Amino acid sequence: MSRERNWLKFRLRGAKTAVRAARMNEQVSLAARQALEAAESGLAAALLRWDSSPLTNGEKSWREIIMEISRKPAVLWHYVTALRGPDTIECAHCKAIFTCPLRGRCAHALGKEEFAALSLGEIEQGFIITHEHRYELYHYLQHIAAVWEVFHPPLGELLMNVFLRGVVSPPGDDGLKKAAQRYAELLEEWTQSKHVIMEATDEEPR
Amino acid sequence: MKNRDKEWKQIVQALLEAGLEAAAWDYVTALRGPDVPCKWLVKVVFTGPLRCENTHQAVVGASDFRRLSLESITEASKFAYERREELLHYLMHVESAWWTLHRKVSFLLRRLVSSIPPEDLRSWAKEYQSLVHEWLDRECVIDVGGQND
Repeated sequence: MSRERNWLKFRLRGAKTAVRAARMNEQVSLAARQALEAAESGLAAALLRWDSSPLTNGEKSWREIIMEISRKPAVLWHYVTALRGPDTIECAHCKAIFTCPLRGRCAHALGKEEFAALSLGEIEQGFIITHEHRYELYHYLQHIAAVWEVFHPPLGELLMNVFLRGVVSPPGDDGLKKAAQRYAELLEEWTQSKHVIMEATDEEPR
Repeated sequence: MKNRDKEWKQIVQALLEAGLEAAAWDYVTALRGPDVPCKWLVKVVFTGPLRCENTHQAVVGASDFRRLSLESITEASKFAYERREELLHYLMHVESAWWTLHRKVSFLLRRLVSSIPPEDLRSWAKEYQSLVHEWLDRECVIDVGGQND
């Protein structure tokens, strides 16, 4: 651990002690003490995770994903505008297949678990139905593909080809099923990665 | 700083700092325009104000809403009302976002999509325009009940 990191950790411990002292002081207003309690547990969590390895994408929440890409405004914009499910049609599993994996852990709405609960057959079926309705879903799919083009480019390319450019090989349901299988594989790669933007940071050869 | 001059990230930050994670979620999921093909005006009227000062090029924001006349807002409201079933998912997300930011706007949007629609869409649009501007001119992100109006 570098001296700078040691020093930062030391200061963080000091901050936690100061927050705790203020929280225990009854002269401080109740509202402030309640807020300090949250601050103290936040600092405790930071100290606990100080030396632990980063989370995989599959373990991250939407807020943690936002935090990781927060210095890239254009990417962040693509991401937040892809978080809502499709407005247009009741497409079977469409939201679970395309939106939920991007949301990660999500306390207030359907999250990554929705995708995990799907069978490969359901994902394949979802691809076929989404392809049928690709013109109604165009705006939605455009936003989803734009995020993946940055997060995991092969996945973005796959979605662009299948749904926005209409390139399915072989043509028909067999090609769509193959694309669905590839989608699940690429998504698993991203889920296991510790970097939201894979290409820029992952070491494994591409 | 007034809400109209803030970036969307500052709105999210304010909501998270207040411990309102669910409200932050409602807000971010309302930032995309409607998926249903519709008039550009609909996006400007309903999504634009929530995005506040948008720094991304060619992206609709609050400044576009500001430039709209009452007639344009009425036209967009009429379109949204007539196609409210198709736009329901989108409009419900917009309505949820306003719930924490300015509750009166939220109630107004519920009227637009409800079974008892507003009788006079021009009056509805006028009230919407006024309430949205009221929030954009505020400094406080969260509705705490008639502050610095």
